Amino acid sequence: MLYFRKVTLLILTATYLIFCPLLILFAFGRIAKPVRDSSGLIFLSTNPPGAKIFLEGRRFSEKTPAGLKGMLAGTYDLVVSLDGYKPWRNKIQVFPNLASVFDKIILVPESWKSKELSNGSFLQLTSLPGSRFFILNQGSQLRDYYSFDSENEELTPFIRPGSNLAHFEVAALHQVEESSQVIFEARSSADSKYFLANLEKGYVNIKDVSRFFPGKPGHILWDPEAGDYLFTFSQGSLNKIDLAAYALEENYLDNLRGYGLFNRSIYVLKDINTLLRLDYNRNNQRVIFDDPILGNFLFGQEGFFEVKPLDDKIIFFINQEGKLVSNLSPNRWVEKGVRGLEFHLQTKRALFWIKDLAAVIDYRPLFLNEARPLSSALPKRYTFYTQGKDITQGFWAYQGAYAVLNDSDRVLLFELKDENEASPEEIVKISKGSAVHYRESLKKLYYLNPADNKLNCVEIIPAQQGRKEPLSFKEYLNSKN
Amino acid sequence: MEFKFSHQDLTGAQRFWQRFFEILSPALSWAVILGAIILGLVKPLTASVFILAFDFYLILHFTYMIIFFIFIRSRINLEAKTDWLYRARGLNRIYDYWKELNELETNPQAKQDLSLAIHRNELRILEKSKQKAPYLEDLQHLVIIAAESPDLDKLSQTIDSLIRSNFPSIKITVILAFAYGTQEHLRSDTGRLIEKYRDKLSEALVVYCPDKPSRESQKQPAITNCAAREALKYFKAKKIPPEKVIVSCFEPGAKVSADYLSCLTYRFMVSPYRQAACFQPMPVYDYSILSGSIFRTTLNAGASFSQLIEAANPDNLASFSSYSLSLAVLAEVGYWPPDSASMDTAIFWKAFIYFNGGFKVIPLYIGYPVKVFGQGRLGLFRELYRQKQEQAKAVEDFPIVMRAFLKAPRIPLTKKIVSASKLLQAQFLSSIWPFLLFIAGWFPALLSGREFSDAATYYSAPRITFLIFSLMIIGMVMSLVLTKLVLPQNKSENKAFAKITDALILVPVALTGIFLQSLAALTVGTRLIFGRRNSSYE
Repeated sequence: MLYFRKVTLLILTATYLIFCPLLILFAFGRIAKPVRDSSGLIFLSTNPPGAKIFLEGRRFSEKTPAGLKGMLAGTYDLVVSLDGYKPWRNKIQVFPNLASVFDKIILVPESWKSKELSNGSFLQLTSLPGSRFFILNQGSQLRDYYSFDSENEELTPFIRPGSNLAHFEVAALHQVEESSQVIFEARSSADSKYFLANLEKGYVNIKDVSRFFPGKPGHILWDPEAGDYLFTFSQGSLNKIDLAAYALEENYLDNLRGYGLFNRSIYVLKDINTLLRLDYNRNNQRVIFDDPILGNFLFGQEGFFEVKPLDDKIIFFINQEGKLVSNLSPNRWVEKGVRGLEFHLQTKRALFWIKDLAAVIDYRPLFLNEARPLSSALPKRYTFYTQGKDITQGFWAYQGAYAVLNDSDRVLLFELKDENEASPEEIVKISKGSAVHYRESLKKLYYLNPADNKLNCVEIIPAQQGRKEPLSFKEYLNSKN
Repeated sequence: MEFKFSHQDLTGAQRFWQRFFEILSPALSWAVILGAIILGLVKPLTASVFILAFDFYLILHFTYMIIFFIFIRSRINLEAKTDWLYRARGLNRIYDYWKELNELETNPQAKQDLSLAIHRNELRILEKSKQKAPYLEDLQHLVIIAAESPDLDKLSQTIDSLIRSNFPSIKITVILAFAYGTQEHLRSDTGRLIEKYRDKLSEALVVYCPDKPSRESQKQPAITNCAAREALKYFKAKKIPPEKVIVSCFEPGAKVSADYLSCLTYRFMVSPYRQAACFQPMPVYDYSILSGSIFRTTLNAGASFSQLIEAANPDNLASFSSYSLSLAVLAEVGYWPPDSASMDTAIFWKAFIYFNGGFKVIPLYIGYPVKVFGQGRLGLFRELYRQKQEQAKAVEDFPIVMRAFLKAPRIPLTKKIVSASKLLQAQFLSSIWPFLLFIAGWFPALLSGREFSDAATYYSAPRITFLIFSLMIIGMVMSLVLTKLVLPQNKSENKAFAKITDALILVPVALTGIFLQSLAALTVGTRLIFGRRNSSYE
């Protein structure tokens, strides 16, 4: 009996010591794994980081930025939440051996915090897209104009008090994207002049360039990277202004229907609907397309088209009626009404808006090595906002993952996560018709407070202590290797 | 070792250790129960590891118990037709008896007789010890029935069962002991009862604890000690050596089976350790003496579950109720501890310490005397809960035993460690296991899927839930099997019907009983943490 007891006890003890760890390992999927080898990865990175992740209602032990490896293919409900912010929800699809990457998630705060930047009120804000400066004015005279440097948050008057230009009335402003200079037409009782204002840190450099404008130009353009060259278009002819040489070359090119500048080249649309590219010295001419029938189909018989290349292959054309066409199929995007067009060069996408609608044209399929599942190799247009009232401005935000729209009396933020309509998040209310300025590098939006017309700014994405940008998928992979 | 088995009048380090060990077991129990629940809510994945490990351990523990319960039952069934008195007589004429046994060997059927083989082995052990069995004619049984006040019906039931026993009642001395404050009319009724039975027994005595202002109060140990001292005086006066007197204590109302005293006599005679041991019947109810409904007995069995399975654990065996020992041993160790809350277990440990670890429990493979409850069902629950609380008070032995172990140089260290850990484990486990198995396991089972750390745990959450619930169900089934093993077999004519009705009643009632015991143990332990001892003087 004693031996039987001891043997039984020994056997049961050994059973426990061997099988208990196995049982626990089995329970936790460490043996007889329930996950197959062909699984996918979900990567999430939010701004701000440190958000909780819930997959199908179950919480992941890590916070953002985090990667969920070994997920079986399928569709999952994903929620990311952080105290003080609205939860971010998405239905994501996981594919075998692929990563579903969401590394540009902005967590929208419960309430946006804005900061007042000026003591005085302003009548108007004029945005210089892509520039660190924008223009504020308290009246219509030149003495009422100021430039605001978003880097240093400094306000600089255009002219000194007592300047003889103080009483000139500003009639029109011409600007070019990513350029810190503007050309404005100003009138006094006796005169009408054109000035070039270079908005530099600490002061505004104003030059009288009236001699280069013998007549009222139809269109003015310059290359932000080669600011000494200006081009003016009028009645089919293009004039070139060399500020450095202080020279005007009239009829630099003629018989044109349109033109555009990109990458130190000039693109010209001839009146026979052929598109050429040449350098500023009119050398290295190259025909981009020469198809009269297509050209006629796209551009019609008359009218000026601004040529706006996304890159050296994809070129858009927009006329004053808002017709938007491009050189690649499908060529005709919008027949009329386009109010603005913004490019995101890194992701080969174009954002455009009309009065009540905003959409994205996506050229990424043309640049993928393998076609995305279930898609073709043609560019796609998807409309993400159809409830607009009066959309006047649009900006790409957060490396192309979001869009900011100025719609009538409010500024909206859209997450462009898929090809469906996006739900807008209202950032701020503004005066109806007022403009805003968005600075992508600072992730800040500048606007005039409708209550007192003072300059305010709101951070779309708060600055992260210790890091400039949240962890990207590439950085995550590098860290794992 | 001389050691005062008491928690009274302690000073200095002894007081410190007393409190330390009093707090240790119940604090551990609460820490584990609350910790498991909190961990299950806050960190269900982590909790599921502990729950799985504990549940698996419990199942193997139950397996071990079931094996030995089956063994106990088999052994009891094996010995059901044993003529214990014949064997006892045989011990006193050993040479002829061996011849008879050897002749039996020629009978082909006898070869299969395991009982005889065990019996022969016992004889060989006795021979090896070079001890002779005491003479049967010299042996006397002393039955002490102690209570605060007499309940004549219950007393009659117990004494009647002794008289119906197949051991000659003329060798049985019964001593009834009551508190000094017993009313006069009860005293006269008791006197009449004694007279009724006197001529059927060797002697029937009644003693009322003396009315003296002393530390001995009206509580049970004092009354029982009082009876034992009076009995010793009686036997000395009769010139009967106390080594030849076997003392048994029964509760009023307990019914003793017919073979009980014969079996006890034989075991006493054949055991070389008779003067350093107590004899404990196995916790398996005998149907022949059962008079309660299946509801009552199931509830009782369920409530006694932990205690019974620990008692049946051959490695843990300690006295717990209805045991017997030599009057000489009882007197030598100083009788029952007067301030002990659980005198049944305390006497074992007191003797264990006194004999420097050389005191043991010898199992009696015979049915356990059943106490019949007379109340209705609500009263049954109350009575049962009170009874389980009484049994749970054995937790107060632990600190005293541990203090003794700290001071006992002659008890081997391994024996101290093994005894201490088994004592702690038994008390600790009895109070926590139903809560962990049936309650704490729910939280990680249901909530482990709430959180995951990687894909493996994401997809294995259903596995965790399934395993925990499966182990829970297996544990429940095994605990019910064990409860059923404790119960007597229902000898109804319609066996299938009996099995179905038994099963329907068994599950909820047995589970209630199981929780009753653990709840009682926790209650007693919690009171001990706050210094509220359950013994006579608090």
